[in-house]
Amino acid sequence: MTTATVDFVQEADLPELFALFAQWYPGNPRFQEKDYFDWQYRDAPIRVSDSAYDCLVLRQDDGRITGCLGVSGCAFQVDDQPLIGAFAQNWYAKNQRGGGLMLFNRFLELTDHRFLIRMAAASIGIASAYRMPVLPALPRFWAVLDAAALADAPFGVNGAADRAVLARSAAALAEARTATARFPIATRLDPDHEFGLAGREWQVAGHIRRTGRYLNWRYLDIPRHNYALIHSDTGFAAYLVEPVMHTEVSVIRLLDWTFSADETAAALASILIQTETNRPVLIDFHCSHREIAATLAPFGFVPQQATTMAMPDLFRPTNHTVGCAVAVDLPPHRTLRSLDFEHWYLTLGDGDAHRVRQ
Amino acid sequence: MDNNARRALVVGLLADILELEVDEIRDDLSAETCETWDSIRHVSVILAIEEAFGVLFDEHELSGLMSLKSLLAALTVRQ
Repeated sequence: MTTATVDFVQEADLPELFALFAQWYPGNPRFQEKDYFDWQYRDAPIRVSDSAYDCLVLRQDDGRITGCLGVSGCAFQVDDQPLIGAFAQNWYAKNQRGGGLMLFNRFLELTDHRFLIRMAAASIGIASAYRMPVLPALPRFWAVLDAAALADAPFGVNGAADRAVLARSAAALAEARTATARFPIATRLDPDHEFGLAGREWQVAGHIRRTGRYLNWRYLDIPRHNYALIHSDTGFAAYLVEPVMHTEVSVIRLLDWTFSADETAAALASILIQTETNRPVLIDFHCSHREIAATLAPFGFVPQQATTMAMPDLFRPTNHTVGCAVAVDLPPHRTLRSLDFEHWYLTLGDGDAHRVRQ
Repeated sequence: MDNNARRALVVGLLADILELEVDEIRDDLSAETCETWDSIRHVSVILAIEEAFGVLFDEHELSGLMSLKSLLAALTVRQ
């Protein structure tokens, strides 16, 4: 057993922690930025501790930090019941002889309602051992803006049958452009408004609550972000444009989508117009809830499995190629449980890894 | 199950998961003394022991069970 201890990081620790982040996450320099760290672990609308930051560190006897686990508070809605919980981020404790588990157990002590997203293989193993219900990969749906570009490198989805899928998808998505209504990009949301999912056309077993206060923090207060939000009274979408590495084209990544079927065309048309100068060739959406994702199907969104050659999912900065794994751990803990992930609404927007502004 | 049988079963599981020879395992074996006993293998140890003995440890116990001695003590309490 390690002789290290776990406690909350202090302001004076940040230079040391940021230097470690530079080693641990060389592809994501945002982690080393003080204002980003403040936003994530100090200024969140739901805090889980009264410490300066909701970020745990593993500290050796000599005071050195050798591991980390960040905690972000969130509000869940589960079967009509509001719950306060948290999700874990930046969990790192390589070669720490149990230090990773010490961090994780401290996280478990902070809340009974836990959420894990973008888990690495090691995290999936630990979550499984704790008997947490795990979805190995958030289902991905995509639609085509430029079939020719997707048949070429670096995408290379160009088998004969696949080309037909791309063409059909592109034709269906083009239909959205005929919508005349528009949703402008929001600069700020009413903090007291909630984009709830109860009473909508879908049966939703659970989700992270999308209050204006939470969404403002999640998507608009984040330093140097490139998110965009559009909304109606009930529907909401968050998206960003990710440049495709070594090309001049981009991909639109929907991070959140709760528009009703009758608003879908106008919402998609709005996004396509708002992003057209970025030369997007593809639009995608990772979503566990099949019915909500299905609202996009009439406009050419198909499951990742629709083509024989896999549509690449790596643009930058996060490697999704093995899938974005999520776990939801509600009481009773450590018992074999299943979770109806198809009726939980979970998306890439439920975590933050789009940190590199282009 | 008596203490010797319990110890033999735990030692066998540890040897298998931690890639040790059975006769390498001494009473003071722990994550501190064993290079291969990391967090990932530890959860494998826990799962294997839970299955073999039909027990379920509380989640807050798990990081405290990273030694042969503590595992045997926890099992003794439960059986």
